Amino acid sequence: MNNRLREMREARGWSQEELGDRLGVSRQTVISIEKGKYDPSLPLAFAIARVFKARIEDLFRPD
Amino acid sequence: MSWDAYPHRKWAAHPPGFWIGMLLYLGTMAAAGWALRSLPIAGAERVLVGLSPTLPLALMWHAYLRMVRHQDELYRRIQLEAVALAAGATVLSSFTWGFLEMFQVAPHLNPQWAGHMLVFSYGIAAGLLNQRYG
Repeated sequence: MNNRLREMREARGWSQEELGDRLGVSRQTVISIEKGKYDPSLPLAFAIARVFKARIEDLFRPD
Repeated sequence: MSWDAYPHRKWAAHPPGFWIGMLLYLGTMAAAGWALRSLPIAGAERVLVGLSPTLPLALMWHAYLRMVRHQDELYRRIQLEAVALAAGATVLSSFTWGFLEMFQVAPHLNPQWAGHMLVFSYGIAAGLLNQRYG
């Protein structure tokens, strides 16, 4: 799954660690999602959307 | 679970109980080994002293479970895959060796090797999976 996590995070000037703290996940999880190596669960995808005040479909796109 | 309440992980590493259990395990292993070799202990007391290192192992197991339950979903996924790989390798190896023993083409080994292999292969699998998802 493709995502705009890195783009959205950098637009806000947040580090991966900071985004991880906001989401309650590790920096490794943020890195893995940004690189497309790991697709988050639905609850985590909703939490990501809430942090960025966006819709899930604005952040994640199927391959 | 509500969508805006993603569970927050509590620990970034092994909790203190794990390391305390590790220290106690090493301590009781050394103490029990020395006591069984050097002191005139017999009967039920000998069994109790010999089994004493298993209590800290149980503490480490409990701490590990607590840690897994309080980590995020990627960590739990890595742990599940690592344990599945390690368990599969250990079961396959122990059954293979057991059959070879049954056919008398391999010597009898202390069954503790299976536990050592499980922990060792888990460590390798967890390391490789961490790199894969890193």
